[in-house]
Amino acid sequence: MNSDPYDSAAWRAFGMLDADECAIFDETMRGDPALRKLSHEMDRLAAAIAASNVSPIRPSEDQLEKLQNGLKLNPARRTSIWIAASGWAAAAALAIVWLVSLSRNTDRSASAALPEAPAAAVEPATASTLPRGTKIATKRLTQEITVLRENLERFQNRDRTLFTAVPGVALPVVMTMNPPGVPADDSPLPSMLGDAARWIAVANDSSEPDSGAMAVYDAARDSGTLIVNYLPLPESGQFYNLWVTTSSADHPIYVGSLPESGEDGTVSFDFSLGSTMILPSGFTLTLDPPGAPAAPSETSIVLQGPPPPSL
Amino acid sequence: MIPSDLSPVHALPSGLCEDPTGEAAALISRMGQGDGTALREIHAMWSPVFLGIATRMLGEPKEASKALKSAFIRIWQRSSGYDPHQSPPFVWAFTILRETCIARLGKQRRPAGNPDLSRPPDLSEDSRVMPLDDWRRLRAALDSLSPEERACLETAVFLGYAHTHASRVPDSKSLTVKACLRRALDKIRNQLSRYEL
Repeated sequence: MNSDPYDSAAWRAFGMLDADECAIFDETMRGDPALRKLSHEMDRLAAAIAASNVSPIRPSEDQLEKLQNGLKLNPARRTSIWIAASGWAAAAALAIVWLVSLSRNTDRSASAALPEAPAAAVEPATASTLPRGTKIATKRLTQEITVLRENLERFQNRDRTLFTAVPGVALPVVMTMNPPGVPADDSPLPSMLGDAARWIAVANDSSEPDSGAMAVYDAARDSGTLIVNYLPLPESGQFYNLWVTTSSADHPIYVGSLPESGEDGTVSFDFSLGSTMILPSGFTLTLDPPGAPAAPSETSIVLQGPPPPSL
Repeated sequence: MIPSDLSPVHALPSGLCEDPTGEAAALISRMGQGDGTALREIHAMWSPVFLGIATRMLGEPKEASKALKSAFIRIWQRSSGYDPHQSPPFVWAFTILRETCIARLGKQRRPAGNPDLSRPPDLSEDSRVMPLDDWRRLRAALDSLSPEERACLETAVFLGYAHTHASRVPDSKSLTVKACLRRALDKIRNQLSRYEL
């Protein structure tokens, strides 16, 4: 990375730093307000130049809908599926009722056609008109059912498209975090089941459970979730802070503070590392007083992972 | 003769892309509280310019459309942590879009789309993207650059040098990309400072 902070801020804004240089720059920036301000100013300039040098392009009509569906913000669509499904079900029910009544009428007309039946003189007229009306109604219902079925299939196919796996996306990193000094469980079952085993054990254990956490991070999307389990509520003024360690950085990089959840059970927090080019080698949770958190120390570390293997 | 040793880029004057009415910041705040209608409004406001930017950064409309969707998902997810004191709303959202485009370029291991600098953009001055005065003073500042400097700066802004090892400005025997960028940024700074005075 360039030693001149002004240059570095510009190269960072133009995507000209590699992953390691980005991580170092971002870490330096967190502790240097002047550099942070400079970086923000460079972002302003880049945004303004970019905006003034493009012709706006209107996104496709369904862009917003896809976005809302991706964020599960589109209840209307879900409702429409239910309407389609319920409409189809109602039509099917009507068809069954109609066919049952048709069957009864056919039986009645058949019995009316028997020579010994006393009312045979009046029945043939009814028997001759019913099939024609029924035929038309059945045809109409069949058409409606076909249309409704097509609509339902279209909605189902659209859902399938939404949930198609993205090729080339890396599997998420899953790491458990234990209190310092607590070794990893070395029984074969957890290694076979993965981290799920430990959580199942915690869920089944009626005694006071140990604090623990699990970090799940998808580097391809820069999207992570930290699930903490029975973390004691911090004392007034204190905050839990999350740090990430990478193989390229010498010391942990600050990710952010956990918002106060007010719960002491299992709570999850979403986080991102600010770049898709960071591959974590571990996570650390510290308990710090208010203000800028210092680097993790023996006294501040509450949980860290992955824990060292047991001896 | 082009000087090889140039002064470093100095701090740029602030003020670009402010949100004077606070409309965008209020929408982001609402998004942070889970208000989907605020997302629709922000999308209507910025998606055309963002799609234009992403298309120039990535070079392919289909890729740009995917990047735009990913960027808006991140904007939604990060809206609760947005701090208007750190950067204006449009700049904050732009950095998320740029980050998304850089990641896509890196994942595909291909160079950025070569920005078509020969085609001038529409002179649309949307005040919901940037205050009208900013559009004019920025264009005036860009006009002060030589064609070489301007091309270099625009290529950099649209990630044309991301994930590459470009060292020399095309058609130039001695000027490096970084030196050209330093000079362009220095000129821009001076021009924008004049407007501030």
